Amino acid sequence: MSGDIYVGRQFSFVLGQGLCESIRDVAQPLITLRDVLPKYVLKLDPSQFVSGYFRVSQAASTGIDQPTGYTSAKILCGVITSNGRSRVTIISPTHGTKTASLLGTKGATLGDHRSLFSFACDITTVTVSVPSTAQGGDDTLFEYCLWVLPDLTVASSWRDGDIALGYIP
Amino acid sequence: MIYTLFVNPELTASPYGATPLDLDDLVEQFPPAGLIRHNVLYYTVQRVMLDNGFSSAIRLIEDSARWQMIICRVVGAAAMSFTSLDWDGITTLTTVVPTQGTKLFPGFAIATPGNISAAFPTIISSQDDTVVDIYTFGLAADNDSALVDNA
Repeated sequence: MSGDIYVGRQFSFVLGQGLCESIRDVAQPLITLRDVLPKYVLKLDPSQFVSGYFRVSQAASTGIDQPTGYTSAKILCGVITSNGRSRVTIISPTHGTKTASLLGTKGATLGDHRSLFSFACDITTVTVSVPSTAQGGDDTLFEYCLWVLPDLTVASSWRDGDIALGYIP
Repeated sequence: MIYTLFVNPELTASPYGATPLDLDDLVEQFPPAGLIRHNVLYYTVQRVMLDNGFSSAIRLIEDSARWQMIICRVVGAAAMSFTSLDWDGITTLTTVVPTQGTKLFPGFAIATPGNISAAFPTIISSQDDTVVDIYTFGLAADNDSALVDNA
């Protein structure tokens, strides 16, 4: 891919009353978070962004590829989901080695409810793993997205440049 | 009372920056399957402003061993911290989820642990005037009896 790549994030959630199958079933949202405005879209070199998915067997682990040329001198943002019992381990020069358990579910009995893990820090490695079958591990699907956080205070980091930063040239 | 949570990280990437993002232009959309849906038994909402080095407890209003989703929206820099039990039920995991952001592009620290072993997770600031919105949700699978008991 040539040229720049543009990364937008519209993180949002809605909490509705009752068991709702679809967001259209939410009659009266109790909490609604709509995050950043659509014009706040980052402009990145394509090498600064990676995403994908893979499956991990029970009692196995795998590292997640980082953007090309990324070093821990910069901040790496990441979002990871899984649909089973799993863990994510981040090794950071600042924070050391830290592991989080992730609980997601799949299937008709438990329902399809994916875990969510999101972070931003200096990173050496990111690894995900699945516990053994005896501990409830299973063939688990992971989806991930990692990108390098640019300097948010300069116009060149944004798709709309000075306009995104609020300056009229 | 039972609630339902729909979460949408909706991270999108496109090589066509000169025009507004639309679905046809996307090369990536995350998560590919769209909304993440959860059954919710209870929730809390907090907002704290913390200077560098200060911390605040994150309230969980029910059994901390229950499946949780914790979402911290951070303007500044902060890290969510807690301990939980690994899937063997014995090993303690030390979890730190750092993030940072600005008003234009806030950071999100999100975790979905299965068994928090400490009474209170904490949020620890690493920058003055950091504002953190904290949302916690007690989750339940579709076959969880609490979905009936609490109904």
